[in-house]
Amino acid sequence: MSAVLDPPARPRWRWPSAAWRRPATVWALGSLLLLLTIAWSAGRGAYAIDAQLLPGIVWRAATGQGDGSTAALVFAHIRLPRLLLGLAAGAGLGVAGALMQGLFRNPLADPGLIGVSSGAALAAGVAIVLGAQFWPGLPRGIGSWPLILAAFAGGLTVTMLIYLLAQTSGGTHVALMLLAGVAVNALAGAGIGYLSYVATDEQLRSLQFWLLGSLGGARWGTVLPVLLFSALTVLLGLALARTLNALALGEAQAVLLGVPIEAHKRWCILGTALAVGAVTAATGMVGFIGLVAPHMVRLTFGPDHRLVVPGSALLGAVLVLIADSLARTVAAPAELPLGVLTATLGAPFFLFLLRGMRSRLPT
Amino acid sequence: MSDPMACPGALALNDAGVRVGAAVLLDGVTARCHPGRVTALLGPNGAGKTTLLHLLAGLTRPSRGQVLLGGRPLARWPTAQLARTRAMMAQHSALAFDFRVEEVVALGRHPHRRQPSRQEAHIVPAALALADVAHLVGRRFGSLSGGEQARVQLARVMAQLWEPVTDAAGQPLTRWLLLDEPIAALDWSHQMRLMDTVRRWSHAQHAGVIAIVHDLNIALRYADDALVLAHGRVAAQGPCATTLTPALIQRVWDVQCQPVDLGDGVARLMA
Repeated sequence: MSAVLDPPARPRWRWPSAAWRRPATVWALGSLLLLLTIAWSAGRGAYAIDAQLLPGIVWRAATGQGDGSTAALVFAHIRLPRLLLGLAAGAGLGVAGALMQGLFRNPLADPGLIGVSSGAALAAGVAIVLGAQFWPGLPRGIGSWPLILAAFAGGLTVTMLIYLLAQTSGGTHVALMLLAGVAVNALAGAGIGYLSYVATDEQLRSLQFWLLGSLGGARWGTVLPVLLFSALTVLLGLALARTLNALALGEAQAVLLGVPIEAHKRWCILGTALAVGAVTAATGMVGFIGLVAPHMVRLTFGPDHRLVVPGSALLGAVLVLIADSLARTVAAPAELPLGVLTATLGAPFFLFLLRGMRSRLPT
Repeated sequence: MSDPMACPGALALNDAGVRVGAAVLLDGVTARCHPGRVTALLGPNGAGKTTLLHLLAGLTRPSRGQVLLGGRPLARWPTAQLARTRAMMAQHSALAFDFRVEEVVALGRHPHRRQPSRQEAHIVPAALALADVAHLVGRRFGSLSGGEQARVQLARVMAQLWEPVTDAAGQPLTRWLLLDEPIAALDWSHQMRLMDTVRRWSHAQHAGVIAIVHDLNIALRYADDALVLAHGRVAAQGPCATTLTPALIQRVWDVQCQPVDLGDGVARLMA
């Protein structure tokens, strides 16, 4: 059928062109950015390590010939675990955000905003305070296994609760999801408030730590479980990337495309809770990384989850490392809580997103 | 064609009913659609057309009766195989994230990722051209008009069903394309173009097409068979020309009309 008018001109060439929009580009650019960030932040802190000494320290530590200098000790026992915890936390939260947004079919779903983090923190708080009365012998240190388990259970409960509440036949109800998050956050805040009355002074410091979020608790023992669970969630996210793409068409179309939807939804919820639970147990509530990282990747590379998942992991790590470097240097020798910093940077970003979405959200 | 044994890939309903709470959406529907033919699914608003399409797609389970594909209950077919042989274009398509046009169409190839076609790289561009949306490549889906979005969705379902598919034993499988009001948002030219495209495709590839349409003249011109629903029941079924009579239209739609013959062999109705 011939049209009367000539077809419109071909669309303008835009970066990134299709050839660049592939996982390899994301991995390469993201890894480069991450390496630069690590190099930049490794020397910063209450005890600054001269950037010129760093390669030597890393080399001697890697080859097993410790030089016993203060700089080397600070690096091996304080700075390096902290960098790795930041990396694991950022990657875990970034991927958890991408998974939630894919599952809820909504770019505003963030583990912090809808209460997964605070649910995990409340459960961890309960484990700290009440666990001391019922199970005095259990380890309750930051990042210990009982805390991770408790935080995981808390995160899982909240994710399922919100999903069941906000899910309608036509998709996820955005307003319900965000309002349910408001309620869960308030409830968790109240719960932590109650706990603070029955807590001892030492427990109170732990609770405070949970509310504000910090990488200050980084020890080798806390880092490894978080690294493990974040890595698992990243792998899960990569495996689910195609599913999340199909899910963007709607649940019915995903079923028609042969996606085993119920099983994959459960994996999404489990992965989110696992990463957020482990990260929260070791760092407390660090908000907005799961919102900002996937969003920036989408703005750069488009919404294909095969790019968004690895991009969110790498960019999430970069963002947490930068924020933590600022947290430990801005008010040195005192330390700002990391969660305070990410919220300061993330909340305006969220408001900015809301402004852009004003026309598209139902009234 | 009415002999069930002659059509191994037929999609049929056997006394099927759908009930949601106290509401009966479909009741005792017995119908059969044949591959290689375009079936127009017709009826007034609320007659149960979309419910019936969802039943045939396997998205809704019948609360009574059966949905049969090739004589076998639909639920007993492997989902992965169904995904390669059956596609549905929904009435409304909201996309959660703003994919580009070509990415949306490429999602149609998702079920084929384990057994890609030899022509895999050519399928998406060909489907884009078939649906007349090749010039929209690079655009965000959300920035398109409703009609353009519908055509992109058509390209996606065509990509999903692009090539003949065989089962594990090498037997060819019938492909089914289910369209829920595919032309509702289209301009006049694209309405005819889309219907013409799916009609040719169905005849040439011996694939089945079931399309919900409201325009009876479109049905008369492009569909082979008609399946008319009213109040959740089958009001009539059979070849369009003999089924869509003024008497039936009066009974189902309460509209008086008469056939018009312009001497070109195309049946038309005028209200």
